[in-house]
Amino acid sequence: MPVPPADVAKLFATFDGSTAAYQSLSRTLDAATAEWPELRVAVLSTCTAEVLQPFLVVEGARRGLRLKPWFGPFGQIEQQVLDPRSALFAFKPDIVWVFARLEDWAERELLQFAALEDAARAELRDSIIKRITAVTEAARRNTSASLLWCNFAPPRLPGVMSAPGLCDGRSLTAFCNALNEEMSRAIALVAGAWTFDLARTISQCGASRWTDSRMALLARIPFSTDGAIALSRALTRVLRAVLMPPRKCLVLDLDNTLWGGVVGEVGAAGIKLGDSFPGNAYVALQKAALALRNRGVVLAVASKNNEAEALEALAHPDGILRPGDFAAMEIHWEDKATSLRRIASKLNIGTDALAFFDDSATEREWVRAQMPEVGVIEVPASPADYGAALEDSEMFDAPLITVDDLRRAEMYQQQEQRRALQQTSGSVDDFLMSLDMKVQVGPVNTETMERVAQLIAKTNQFNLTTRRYTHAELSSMIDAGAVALWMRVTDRFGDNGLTGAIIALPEDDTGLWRVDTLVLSCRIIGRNIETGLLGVLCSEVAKRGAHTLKGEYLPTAKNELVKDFYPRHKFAADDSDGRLWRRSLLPLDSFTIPSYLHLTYAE
Amino acid sequence: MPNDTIEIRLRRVFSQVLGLPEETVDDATAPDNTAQWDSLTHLRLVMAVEEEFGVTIPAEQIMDMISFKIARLMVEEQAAS
Repeated sequence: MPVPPADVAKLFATFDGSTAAYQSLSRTLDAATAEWPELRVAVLSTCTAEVLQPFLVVEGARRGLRLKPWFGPFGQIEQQVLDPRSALFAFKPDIVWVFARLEDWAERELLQFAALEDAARAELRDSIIKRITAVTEAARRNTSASLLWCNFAPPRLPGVMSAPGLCDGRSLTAFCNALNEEMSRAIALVAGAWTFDLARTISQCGASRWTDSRMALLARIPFSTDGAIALSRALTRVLRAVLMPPRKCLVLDLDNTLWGGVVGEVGAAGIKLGDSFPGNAYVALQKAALALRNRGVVLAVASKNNEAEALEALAHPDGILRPGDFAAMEIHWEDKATSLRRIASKLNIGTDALAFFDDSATEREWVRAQMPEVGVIEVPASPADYGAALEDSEMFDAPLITVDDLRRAEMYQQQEQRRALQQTSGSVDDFLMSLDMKVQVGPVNTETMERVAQLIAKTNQFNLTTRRYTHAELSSMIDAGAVALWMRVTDRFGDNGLTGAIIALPEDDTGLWRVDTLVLSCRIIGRNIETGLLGVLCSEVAKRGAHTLKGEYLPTAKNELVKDFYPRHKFAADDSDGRLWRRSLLPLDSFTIPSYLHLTYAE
Repeated sequence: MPNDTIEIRLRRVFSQVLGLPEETVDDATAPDNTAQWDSLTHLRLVMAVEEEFGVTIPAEQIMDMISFKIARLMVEEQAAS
């Protein structure tokens, strides 16, 4: 679980999770999180959902979100979405969450489901998809809020299923699965729209625990208290994943974390790792870490050990992770905060991008006190629960995996090789020349939008203005005439992926343009690639009539690195505190693009 | 706390759900004299009471729990059986 700020964390420390405590904590949090940015969540449903309010507020705050829920009148999804002057849009939502149940939309058809011919079923499915598409598109026209649709859980209508438990191709469950697949495809076609896996939430909660027939019959509430809590947790978890960047690196301890026992005492042959308990529990954690690595999370080790012994244990025949799977290893007797700082600096990421997994409560406490920005995972006493603790930490949730994520772990290792080369070559220019960099720049389009949005959301150091934009906001900026460019860099060690973006907007119609956003991934900093990107931007805006370009530098705790970006590129100060800059785009004044950048522009 | 009497525990639950100081909750507390006690809050009270005491209030009685006193009697009756 992400760590909320100290004062709010204190409120959670005494929270017992009872229904009554949810109600009172939600009121206390309202004042305690008053300074946080508000996230307005509109709920549109075919059933009564208001009862979720305190659960959403509490589970949101636990994840660093101040939710302001608003509940539309039930059964009025279309009415609210189609009318631009509806109460829904007057609420000005940031998120619109749609919760339609199959039994509310198609009860008549479901009651005769077993007898429905294939053609009638296909027709039913098409009509539901059409309804979803119409609502999603109307919402997209009327708001830039992110849209989140619940998929369908197999309805629990007594008598409808001919043989519950048998899942042949004609069962209601199979129908729901096919419908859900098609639904998520249809929703993905709309910018900023996502599908929320309600079916999974219900199955995780347990379908019988999920409902309370009394609440359903007395108040049209489709879930029990346990269900309301499970739903609020799953929903806020998704919102956090969509809105906040994930941790980039998992730092693991070794003894009693990746294997049982202390290698310095029992030797590599004596550690517990293998097919039987508890060795298999440690193997399970190693597999979970490998799965994270396979989806782009970087792994590192911070262990108090003798390096030679630790490396020997990492070669254990029953082990899953090998030294080559770790992008950084700090194995010595220095304190762990020092190790974590070194790991972050070696990987060129902020310490707030680290998550820390260590069985020792003392080490966790030390790191928490020294580096409150690190995500310290609460590790349970028994290794049997390690895997679940890693999963429930929610530290690596990311809305979707881009190709660059998949290759990130590999890319950090290539970076290590580049650094080794830097140490052997002479001047910096020689080094940069030897990298044989190919820089490709192109206009942001539907294919690159997702990755650009992710880059803008995650970049802190090389970020001139630290403005964050959602997918939806980006596309409306482009529609409104912004020039938005992506950049990717390949060098002799491999493809760094899409690692830069720049956005400029016309200030007025006299040819004055302003650079609104410029971000570069930290893995390609220090190679003057930004000069190439700015150069391409200048020629692109010039083609649209720009003669002067304004630049802004908005200082934050993290972007000191780019303080002199504009003066370095011959922009003149436009104010006295180094924030506003401007330069002419006359051809005489053009940029010198370093010769070691091979620039190409993709239309 | 588990050793507290039913009345004390129930008052704590009502106070948390209604957002009222514990000392203002007594047998007479009812929807008619408590602005916070609307139909939605009523269901929240039922759920919270059930959870606190590990009891189940039958569907037929849920809408009858229209005062602190009735809630107390319902819980005491179930605790006795």
